[in-house]
Amino acid sequence: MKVKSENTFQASMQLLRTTLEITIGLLVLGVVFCVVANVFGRFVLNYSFVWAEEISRIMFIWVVLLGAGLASLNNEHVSVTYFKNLVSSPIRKAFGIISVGVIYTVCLCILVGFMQIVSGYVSVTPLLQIPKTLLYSAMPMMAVLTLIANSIALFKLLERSPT
Amino acid sequence: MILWSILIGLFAAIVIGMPISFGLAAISLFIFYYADYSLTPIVSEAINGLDSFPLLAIPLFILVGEVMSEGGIAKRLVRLASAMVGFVSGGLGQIAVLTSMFFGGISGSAVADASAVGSMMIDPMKRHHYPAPLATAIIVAASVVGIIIPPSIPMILYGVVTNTSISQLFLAGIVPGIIITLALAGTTFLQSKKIGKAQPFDILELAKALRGAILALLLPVIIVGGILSGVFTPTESAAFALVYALVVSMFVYRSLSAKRFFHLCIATGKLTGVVMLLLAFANVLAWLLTANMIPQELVETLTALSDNKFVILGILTLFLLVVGFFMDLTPAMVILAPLMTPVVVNLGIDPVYFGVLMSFVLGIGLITPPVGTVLYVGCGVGKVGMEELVNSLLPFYLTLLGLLALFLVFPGLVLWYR
Repeated sequence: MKVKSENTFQASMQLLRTTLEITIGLLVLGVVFCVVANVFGRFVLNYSFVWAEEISRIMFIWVVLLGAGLASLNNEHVSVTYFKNLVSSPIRKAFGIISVGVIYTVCLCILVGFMQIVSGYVSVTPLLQIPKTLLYSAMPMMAVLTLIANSIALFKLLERSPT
Repeated sequence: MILWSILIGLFAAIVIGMPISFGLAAISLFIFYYADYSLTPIVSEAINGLDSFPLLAIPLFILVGEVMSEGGIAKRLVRLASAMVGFVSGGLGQIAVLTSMFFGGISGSAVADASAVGSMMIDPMKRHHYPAPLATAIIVAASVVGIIIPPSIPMILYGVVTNTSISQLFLAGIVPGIIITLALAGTTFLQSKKIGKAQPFDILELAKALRGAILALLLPVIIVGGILSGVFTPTESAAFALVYALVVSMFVYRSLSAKRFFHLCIATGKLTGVVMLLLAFANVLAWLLTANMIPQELVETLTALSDNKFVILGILTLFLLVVGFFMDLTPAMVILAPLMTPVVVNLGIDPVYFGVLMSFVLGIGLITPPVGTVLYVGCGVGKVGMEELVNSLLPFYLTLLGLLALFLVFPGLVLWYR
């Protein structure tokens, strides 16, 4: 039973990663298309596609924050492991738990901060009048992905023997 | 209090090994709590930090580097460098240094430079009787050129966070990049002259190698030429370079499929996420610093120490060198550049000059222990231990520090275009 639920969990995580990867790949292609379209418009058609710059910036923000969420799931964020590796296993475990606790706090604050923003007046982008909620929503998405990754990290930390 | 919170918070994040980006966010949240701010800036200021068109150049340049590596470009650059300098004593080492400069003109990243050139050059060097640590040290040291020769991802970050012209930063990087390449080639010669030549000089082989690599060599010319002539912005030049790289790799060299290109887009997105999340949270911190007039306080504190700009520049450079031992280039750049640049500008030092200097000093930090990303890449690619690699790097450290002193004494070498 335990093995089956573990397999289902692994499969769900793999599905999440693959979905994120495909979305990120498509968004990067979108950014490339918009910037290239703008260069083409300016130099070949002598016409600037005003929409392209704004759309590319929005897609870039989503690339960054979905990419960061995926990096959380894959444990790929920049960190200094030199000092952590110098200390004994129980201290390393304590460091891990503190780190997880801090990241939980950061992610929850991001979710609260987002709720505070959307509960008030949200401005729009200057050209296409797109509500900035679309930009800001990338942040809680990253926070939720990081919360999932953090919970897995905490589970592994508590499961592992300190010796 | 804010400055101390940042220092202690960063120190704690480094010691416990938590991701630096979340460490930065936690420091900001602590200051929010202490100063009774709402939580909205942790979202709004982070997004504002990312909402910038020049920043789009970073994923595009990363993608150009990936496409060109995957498309067989690095192989052609090695062949050209072999034909150009392979006949010199210790020729393979010279080839590695020259290839790093060529590759730096495409990727703009020291890590990409070290892994691409290292994976191709270290094994042939070992077969030519180079001790593995020396072969790896040459690759690792030469990768610093990658972030000085334009395009340069650290310079784009510096330009964005300090509002300095990225085009001028790129222009300023050309001469120092060439000087660093020559100095490292000299050091490589002294270290490996007894090992012998890689191949005899052959004008026909040079012509063939040049013909094979000409399309690849045009890329840095397009990137740099386009920006410097004012035709392109850095982001536009990156887009143009990407289209060019795609056409060359897919239709001329025929070494890149559409499916593989999509995978490169995914890899680029992931890397962009890691790098840019740091920038997003550093922007929240920068907003707090500005709102609390911290840069002004820092200017006053440092100018109270001395009003001699060379003394202050020396102190800042020394500080950056120490930071480089413990912190990766990207977080150091996005955290410290907005703090330090007002100090140097106030003393009459050119921000473009300081940007190149800062990129170089933090670039040295990438190859120094205990925390050096390129050093770790080198250990992995060259299959050598950290201690033996650092021992082999000692002459290169001396060369790089000598060059740093040279750029400090003669700023005209950086601001050569004025």
